[in-house]
Amino acid sequence: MAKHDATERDAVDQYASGSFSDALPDNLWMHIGLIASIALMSLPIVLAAIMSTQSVSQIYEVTNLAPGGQGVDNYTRALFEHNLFAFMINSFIMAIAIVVGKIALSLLAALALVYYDFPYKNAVFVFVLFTLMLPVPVRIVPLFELMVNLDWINTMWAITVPYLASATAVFLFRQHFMAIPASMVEAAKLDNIGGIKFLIYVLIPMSKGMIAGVGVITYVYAWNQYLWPLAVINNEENQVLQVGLKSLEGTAAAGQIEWGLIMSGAIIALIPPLIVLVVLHKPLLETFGLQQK
Amino acid sequence: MAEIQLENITKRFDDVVAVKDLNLEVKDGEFIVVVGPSGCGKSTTLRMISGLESVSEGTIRIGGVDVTGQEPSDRGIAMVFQNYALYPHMTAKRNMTFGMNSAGSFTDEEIEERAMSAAEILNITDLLDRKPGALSGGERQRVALGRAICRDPQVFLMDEPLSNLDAKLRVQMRAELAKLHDELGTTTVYVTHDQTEAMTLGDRVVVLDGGQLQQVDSPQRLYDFPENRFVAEFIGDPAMNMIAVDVADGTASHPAFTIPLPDADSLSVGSSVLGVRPEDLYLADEREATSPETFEATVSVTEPLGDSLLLHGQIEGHEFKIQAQPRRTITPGDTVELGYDPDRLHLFDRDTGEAIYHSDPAVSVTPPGVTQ
Amino acid sequence: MSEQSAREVFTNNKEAVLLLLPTLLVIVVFLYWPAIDTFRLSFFQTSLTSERFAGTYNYIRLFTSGSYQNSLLVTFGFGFVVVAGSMLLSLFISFMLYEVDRFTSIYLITAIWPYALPPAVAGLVLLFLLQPDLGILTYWIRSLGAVFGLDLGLDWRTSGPLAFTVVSITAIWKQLGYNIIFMVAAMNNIPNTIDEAAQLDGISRTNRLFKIYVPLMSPTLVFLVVINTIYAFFATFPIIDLMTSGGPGGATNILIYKLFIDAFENFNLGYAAAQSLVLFLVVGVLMYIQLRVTDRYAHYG
Repeated sequence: MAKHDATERDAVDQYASGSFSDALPDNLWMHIGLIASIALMSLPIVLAAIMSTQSVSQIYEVTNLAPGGQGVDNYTRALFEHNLFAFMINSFIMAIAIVVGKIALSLLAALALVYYDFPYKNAVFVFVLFTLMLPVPVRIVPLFELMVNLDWINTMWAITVPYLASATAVFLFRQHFMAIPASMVEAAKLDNIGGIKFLIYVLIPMSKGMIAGVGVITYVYAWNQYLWPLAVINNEENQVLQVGLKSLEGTAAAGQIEWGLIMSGAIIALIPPLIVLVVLHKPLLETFGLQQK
Repeated sequence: MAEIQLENITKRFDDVVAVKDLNLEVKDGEFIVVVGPSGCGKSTTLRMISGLESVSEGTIRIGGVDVTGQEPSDRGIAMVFQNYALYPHMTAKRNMTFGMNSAGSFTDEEIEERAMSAAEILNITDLLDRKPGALSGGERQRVALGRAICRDPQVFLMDEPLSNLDAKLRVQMRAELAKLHDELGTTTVYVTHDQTEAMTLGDRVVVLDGGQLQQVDSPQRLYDFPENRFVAEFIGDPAMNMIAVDVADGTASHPAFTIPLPDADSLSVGSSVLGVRPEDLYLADEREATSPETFEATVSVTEPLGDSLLLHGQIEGHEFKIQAQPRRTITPGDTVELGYDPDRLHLFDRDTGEAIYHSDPAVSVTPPGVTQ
Repeated sequence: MSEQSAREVFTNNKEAVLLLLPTLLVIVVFLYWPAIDTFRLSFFQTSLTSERFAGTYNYIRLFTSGSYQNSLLVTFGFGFVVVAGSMLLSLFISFMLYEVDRFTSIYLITAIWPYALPPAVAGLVLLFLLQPDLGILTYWIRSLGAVFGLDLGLDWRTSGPLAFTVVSITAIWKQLGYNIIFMVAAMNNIPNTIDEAAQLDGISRTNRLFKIYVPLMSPTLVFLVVINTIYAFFATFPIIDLMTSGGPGGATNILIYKLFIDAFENFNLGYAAAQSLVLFLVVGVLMYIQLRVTDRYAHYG
């Protein structure tokens, strides 16, 4: 098909009917624009991935964009010589603990806020929501002192427990529960089913998508934490991956920075959240769609 | 099975009175339908019987036991919801049995047995493994009924259970509900806004408006002897025609006509409202005259309904609806001769709307409030 | 009988308290208490071992400090560039995603992936690719400049404006995924009939984007401005830490970085607390704007 002709013909069509936005030639520029944008967005990671396989001398050739032969070596050294494997395990434990804990706590709180009748309910909800105003930097100094007093410095407690409560997750679950027909809980009430049983047998199965969505958001958030672990973890053995990358920064062999090794570390740190996103992007998008209302 | 007694039930939501001083007795095994426009308090009444809503004042008894303060699960009731309230992630069978052992009153075999027999009654045995998403509206409705039947309650409470179905299915399910009630004989309170459902299903029908009881009667008596204007206009479709008249010495006069009221020689109540149903008006050439005289009306709108022809007629600027025979060539602007059935006249107080007089001779034979 | 009250079928107060307790405990101990203590601490002068009431000393010091004023300026400039840059780019990409009707799911997932990109990784990768001497991107940019007869040094490790540009680009890149997710969702919420009516009227694509979509998306856009600002203020910390350490000459020394250094390297806790309080005010103002604006738009929608 002669593209040029088609474009012109379509331009005429477009003018005449004002419609046909789905005709491919008309959208060709959109496709080209998208592919270019996505390529540009992904270029740095593609380059980093290539160079993570190169040796120091290949890197110093600058324009050499062929995959090098030192990939296995770079990744093994990053993981084991530079402890990224241990950091990664810590990051996994931290992220999973935060995901599970946050979801559990928020489900319980949302259950109370939607299905229980108790005094000062709105005040409690506002009290929870107001914590959106209190990100870590706003309270970092006393929080650090609190960790010292609890003797939690350099422990997993310090980088998980303060993250367990979440205004966003409570808000999202509450919204979701309120969209479930009231007759569901009424039918349960007629059978004398209690709150917890209703949560486990009815609400959680009916909220799988939302839970998965909140799980992705929380996982990515936890995995990417940097500032707080940097403040409260200062020994190698308990460090998380993001901060651990910093220790790669200065690696040098014979005066030359080992960028290939550093890039392999960067790729290692990117892969887990990327997999989570790709696998669970559907529930994530649905959850974000809901958040807008 | 059990009877239900509502004594002086009042329900307030903040400042709004949803139900006011309601007294009602539902007999053992009776199918009673509560009908009224939206916001009349019918659902609230049902929910108070179920215990999902507390009462502000008054007493509710089920089977002679005061259940006013009891938990819903202790009342021996089962409820069918408008949207069925089926859990989307559970199979039909699990939906029916889930929660049955929460009360601890059933063994597993008993639950199994009951689910199977309920499924048989409702003809859904082969749907039991499907989830609600794979069921049609009518099938979901049956599962919801099955859930109620499994529990073998003293009382069924149904909250507009058919209103989510399409018109054809609704008629079919209506008949099945009636049959089911004949089989099981369980006391049933059924809430609907649809007067046809109310008339066809109810042993007796309760008409509510503005949270207040208007009338409780058998469907036919409700239709023939409405106790007030609200009931007269609410029951029957198209609605009863209402005309302001002046009544003196047993005669209702209007600037355009005078109508003698049978057997009411001494009735002189002055300004009041005369009610005549469209089906009790006819075109004079359609049948032998039953009325002492006929009237001329100008047709403004014609609505062919298939089984009849609904005419909007004007007499002296007052609009009437007349149910005429079908397949007639009448067009707007035509003048027609109207007759009426003298045994089907109703008279209401102009101010209170209370019925003053029904021309049907049966009214004196059966005192109001007694089931036929 | 509101919809909400029909759901409140459980009336056991003790159970409700137990359900809320874990969340309330965490937010009181780890959020409210430290936040309140930040306020207290900001009126104290501290050393490693002692603290002493100092009145408004920390605040006076803060607002008379040249380096703090510099950080304020850098942060607001950085915030503006990052928010404007990432939102504009995301808007165009989202619009293209919305317009095409083939391969949409593959486009979508390949466009939103930076959502999963850790800021530290973004910082590290561009730190390397933009190295003045051996970065391939620097090399390409320099070659492109040569075509136009420019001799680009591009040594952003010594040039403040260049360093500022580099960290801004990195921060914008990382934030594209998040913005695209929300913008595509907002565009999908626009009724098809509006779209069709606009096409029937022969309104051009650009006009459709700016005159129809953008106004209809405005609640989402306001939300994103707030979230992106908070991101630029706080979550870009790893980028600064790994790429420039606030330099050169304080050109990228944003407030959060300065706060961290003052607290954890200089151990000037009272002074850092005062800085936290300023950040709290910033968050407060942003949240207030968001509430007000989305409230206003809610009445239209």
